[in-house]
Amino acid sequence: MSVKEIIQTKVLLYIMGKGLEEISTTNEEFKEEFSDYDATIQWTIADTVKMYMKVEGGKFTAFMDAVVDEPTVAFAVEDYAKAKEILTGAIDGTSAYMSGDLKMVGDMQAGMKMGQVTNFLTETLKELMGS
Amino acid sequence: MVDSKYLSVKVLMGAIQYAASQLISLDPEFKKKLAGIDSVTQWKVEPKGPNSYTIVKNQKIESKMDAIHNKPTYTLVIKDLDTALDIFQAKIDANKAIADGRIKVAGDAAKAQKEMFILEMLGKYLGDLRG
Repeated sequence: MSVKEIIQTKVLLYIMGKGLEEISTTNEEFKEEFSDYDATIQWTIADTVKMYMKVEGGKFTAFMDAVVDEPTVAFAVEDYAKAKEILTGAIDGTSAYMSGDLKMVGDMQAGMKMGQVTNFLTETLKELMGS
Repeated sequence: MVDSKYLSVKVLMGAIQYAASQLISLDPEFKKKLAGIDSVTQWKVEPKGPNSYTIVKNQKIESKMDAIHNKPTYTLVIKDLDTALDIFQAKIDANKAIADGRIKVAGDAAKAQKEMFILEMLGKYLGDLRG
């Protein structure tokens, strides 16, 4: 990965992690919809950029540049360009998973819920994500 | 319920500051340019935030969200949320925004202008973040 790719990927993961921290504490609709969501979610891009999120009762906390032992679900994307498309919402997670671009290991249900969460995030941050 | 545009600006403001802190270890040229800088930049977005400040010292960058520094070197007051989105997404040049009044500078304006290279360099890395 080039420096530009690394920085962009870090920023996109930051936007997802910190965006979910904000939404999960301020958005009543989100809180109601995901109040039963408990998980630790690891993201790894090109084996280089890493971040995990801890979810307790729907409340997200993001840990940048960090790895968690035994996550509930772990997502990995090998190709930077694909990661960028997934993290900006240009392609949805389910399609990326079906095509093999997005790898998911662990609890399938927790993983599918993450898909719903990111759709909510993309819609809420539409000025930022460009949807 | 927090306004989605406010949330987008807050998340992006944090993402830019995170990117700056990360770039130090990834781009030697960027780190070199920070040599000798000792300043506190207060960011304010009119009319109701978000606000944050950034400390540059000893070639390191640290930021604090939702915070007002008691003695900033200079304060950058951004006209509104739309302007903040444009600046943080590198759609408009910060120096130009200062010149036409969309950003007002309080405090050491010369230092503010001199340190705008930080935003410019970040813009080169993040300008096409959304593809």
